[in-house]
Amino acid sequence: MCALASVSSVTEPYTPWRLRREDVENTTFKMFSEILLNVFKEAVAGKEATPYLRTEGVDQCREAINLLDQQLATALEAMWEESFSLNSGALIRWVDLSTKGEEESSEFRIERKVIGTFEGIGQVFSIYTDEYLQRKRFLILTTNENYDDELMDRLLISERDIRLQFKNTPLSFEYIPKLLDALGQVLNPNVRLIWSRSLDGISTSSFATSTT
Amino acid sequence: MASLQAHLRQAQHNEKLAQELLASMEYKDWIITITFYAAIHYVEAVFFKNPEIVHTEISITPNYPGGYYGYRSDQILQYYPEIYPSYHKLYQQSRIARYLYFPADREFLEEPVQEYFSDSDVEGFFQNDLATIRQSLNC
Repeated sequence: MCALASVSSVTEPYTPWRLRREDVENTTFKMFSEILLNVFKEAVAGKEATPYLRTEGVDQCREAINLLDQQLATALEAMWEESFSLNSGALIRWVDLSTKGEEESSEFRIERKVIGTFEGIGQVFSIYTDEYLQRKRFLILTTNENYDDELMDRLLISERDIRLQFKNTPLSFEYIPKLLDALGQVLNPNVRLIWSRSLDGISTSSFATSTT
Repeated sequence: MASLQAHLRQAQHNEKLAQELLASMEYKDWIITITFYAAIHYVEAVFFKNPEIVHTEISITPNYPGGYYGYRSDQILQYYPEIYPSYHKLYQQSRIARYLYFPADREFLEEPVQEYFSDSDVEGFFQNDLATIRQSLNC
């Protein structure tokens, strides 16, 4: 085994979307409020400045609310398709960007998809990313110590689906079975930890070096 | 550039040796490695019949991300996605078998390949994954 370099004792990995639950609620509420406000603004736009809405104004508001309802349903449906858990930080990031009217970077979109896909596999412990041979590489650390064919099948099918979705981006995936004493640690200083889970109180360590 | 027949015969040759070694399970590392090289030749054989690819070594563009492996992998994904999981599994496991290697500058495999993979793992690579590749590609 290679000699170990000094290992950082950082216990909270760099995860820009690791937010608290109240942040989820606040951001969701903010998004909802702003959309609602915008819809009402549009509904009233073009009308004379009057404190009372006429019948047609009420109808317009009703239509706007129905539209809002459909938009929310569509947005949620899309998120379910990407297998997000509702407390996922990735969802927060998405909502935050939505409220700001910003588009997420393609890199983040890929990372979000990778996290959303692999966090559903129980043996996946942490996910790192870096650039290797001109490819965006993901290091998927798993908890198995010996080869696990069923797990590998799940990982590879997930990988294939991700790669098919992002055909134009060169991607690479590595699956690293872990020994328990090294769980969560990757010594390469150029990798960035993007997701990890805690298992029975074992904390993760990382070198939080961004490659982007 | 090797011919279609050369690739097919080489694939069959490798597959035959892997099958012989399976009987004793004494050389799991080489069974895995040979199985992967059989898979490569089946893949290159079907590439040969695909005018969009023909052959990895001559079709790859300079500085292609990931080199030959990246190119071959991308072509499989584009044209033969059904074999991607099996092919990629054999690639990954054969790399472990050859180098005891995991990325990120760390050797995680502290035991011989012989102990890391069970007999059924190795049988699965040969009987399931290589067979999937061969049958899906109609080789």
